Amino acid sequence: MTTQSKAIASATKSFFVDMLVRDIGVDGAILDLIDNAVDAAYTHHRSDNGLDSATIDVTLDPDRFEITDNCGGIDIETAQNYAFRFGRAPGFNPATRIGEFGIGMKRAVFRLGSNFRVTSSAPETRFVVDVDVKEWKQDDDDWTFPMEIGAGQAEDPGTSVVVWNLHAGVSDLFKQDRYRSRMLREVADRYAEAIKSGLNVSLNKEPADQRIHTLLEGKGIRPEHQSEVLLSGGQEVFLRIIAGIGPDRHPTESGWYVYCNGRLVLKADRTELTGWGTVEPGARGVPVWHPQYGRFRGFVYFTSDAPAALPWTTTKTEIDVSSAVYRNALVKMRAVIRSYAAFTNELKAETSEFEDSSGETKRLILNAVVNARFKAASDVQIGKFQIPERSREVPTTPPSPQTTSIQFQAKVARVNALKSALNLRTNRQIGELAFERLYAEEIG
Amino acid sequence: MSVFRPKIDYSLRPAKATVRRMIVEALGRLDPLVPVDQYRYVGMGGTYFRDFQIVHRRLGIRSMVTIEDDLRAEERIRFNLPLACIKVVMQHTNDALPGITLEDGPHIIWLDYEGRVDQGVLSDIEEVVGRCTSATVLILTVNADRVTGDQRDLWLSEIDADRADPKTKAEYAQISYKALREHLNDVLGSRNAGQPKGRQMQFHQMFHMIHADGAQMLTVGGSLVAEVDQLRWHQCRLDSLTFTRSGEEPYVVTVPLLTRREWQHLLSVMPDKTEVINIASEAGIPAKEAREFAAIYRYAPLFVEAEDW
Repeated sequence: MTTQSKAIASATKSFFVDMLVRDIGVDGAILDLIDNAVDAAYTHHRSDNGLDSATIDVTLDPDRFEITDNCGGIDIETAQNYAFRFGRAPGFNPATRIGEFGIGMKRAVFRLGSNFRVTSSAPETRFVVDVDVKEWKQDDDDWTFPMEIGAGQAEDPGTSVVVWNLHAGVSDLFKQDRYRSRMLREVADRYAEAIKSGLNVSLNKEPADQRIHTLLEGKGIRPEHQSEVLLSGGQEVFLRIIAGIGPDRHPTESGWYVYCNGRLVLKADRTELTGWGTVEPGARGVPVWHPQYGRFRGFVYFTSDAPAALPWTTTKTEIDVSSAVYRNALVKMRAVIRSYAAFTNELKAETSEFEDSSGETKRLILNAVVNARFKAASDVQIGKFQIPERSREVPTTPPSPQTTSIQFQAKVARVNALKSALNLRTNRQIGELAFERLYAEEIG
Repeated sequence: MSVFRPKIDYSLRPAKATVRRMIVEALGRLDPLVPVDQYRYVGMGGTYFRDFQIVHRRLGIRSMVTIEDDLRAEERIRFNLPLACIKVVMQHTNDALPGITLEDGPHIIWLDYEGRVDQGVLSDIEEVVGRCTSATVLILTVNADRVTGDQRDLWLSEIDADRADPKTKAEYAQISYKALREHLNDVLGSRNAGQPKGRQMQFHQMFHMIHADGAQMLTVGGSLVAEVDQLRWHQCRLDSLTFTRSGEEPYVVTVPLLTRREWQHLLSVMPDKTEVINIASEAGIPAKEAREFAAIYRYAPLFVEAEDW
């Protein structure tokens, strides 16, 4: 005889929180929270002025993390039913660009510290959620957060997230000036597109500067720019690749930059992940990145209304290499790398020809590089990466003659008589004059 | 810098000449897909340009590019150009192909290497398959002979075949074939990824040939055809030719050694493949040679000395 019963399989909160924060670093947690604010900025401030009035202020302090924005706030309905929920509820599809995964904010605050407070003012409502995580974890059956709701008109609706009782490692990081300035650069890179559209982001009151990438363009020389609409799980993904010769041989700036919906996912990547090969430069095959490619800059943009169709992982700091759209892009990126490798090989060949010929050979490629100007990557026209052809001049071939010579004999005495009569010095002059006179007479 | 000297006269390589003519016959069948004279031909002419001449004469192709990487040979290559419509690109194929526009129409690209499959060859495959338009034909010829000594392991490792243990010539050819095809399939798979079905391409293998005038050479080739062109591709009826191969079994080109008189004798009963065996035996020619003759007689060259001594 058997009896039907059930074994408990529900997660404890402690286990759940540990699992949740496992994949994310401190950087990722901070960026997740900024992602949410940027999304809100795009929704709330979309106007002719771009994101001009949108502001996000981040504070990293050894005792406290804070992010405050003026990007519209979260309304009560959304807060009660969706915003604090783990995972996205089915049927709830807000127009997000980069904060797709329904875990960002919770994961981030758990990663940073033991207490958090979310305050948000939407145009007509406001609320505060204040949580002591250690306390909250005691009761495994209650999966809600306490929420205080208020009413009233907000002047500048927005959201702020404060985390305190920071975890030891986090607090240590926030003490370091070096970490804070690295994070500022990181923010400037990651949100370059939003910053370009007018978004103001600051970290400890220092604004993140607008980063503009430039590429060489000039006579015979131009960057690559191609685009295509691809499909990922039935959703359209717009792919754009721009690449070329950057301003300097920078060992940490060279490589591929991969963006998903404007958010930088990979920065200056020089590994096989972005198509770099395994052979030495100059050998046959796709080359491994090498300082000789130090001026290479490549930018890959994936854009979609459906962020889940983009080739990133949930941490948004990694690329999902199995993604169909990424595999497709990789074929194109490797073709660009080969073009660039061919360019550096040609430049090398030109240099050695120049040296072999003791400076006789024209340096067409080098001159084009030197005379080209920098153009913002975003302004590059559609077209293939191009460099001038190397000089093919063969020094020994004289130009084919357009003239011919005529010879005839005459008595010396008579030639001399003509010379003195016409005051001419050479036989050649007499010959030429004779030809011109005859030509004028017969042909005109 | 050392002096360039032309390699052996390719026109005296009977097996190679046979392969070349077979390929051109097959290319001539592509008319339903693309009017053949509209193709651009990209090859590696060497100093003899045999393929360029035959492609121009038999197929009417006028737009041609030759890729040459022996810089010392430039003057002689230009001197030997048999036609005015051949553009010379003096670069290694790895550097030359990225500079050739493949996106503007179908190409016939015959990369006729002297060396083996290596990272350079695989990179060229990627370059073509990644960028070409539908109806483009890619043909690759590589050395697929045995390798001995240290070179053997180096080579196997370079093509990611460390675990293979080829012994016979046939096994070397098979490994080379797999390296080419698997890489081609990988790149094509990636190119198709994320594309709507109508833009996806299929590779229809046309050639899988082995020939040897000296070293054993492998030729693999086929056409990249988009979904929308599939019907036209099938109208080309490439499978009705005796030497085309769509799978892993190669067609082995063997040119029998026959005198001129024997040749004419066997030819007189063709295309009767039974009768040719009979009349061969009357002349004391082994049946094996007669069968080989019957397989290649339409393509193999018959050499005579052009000048009396």
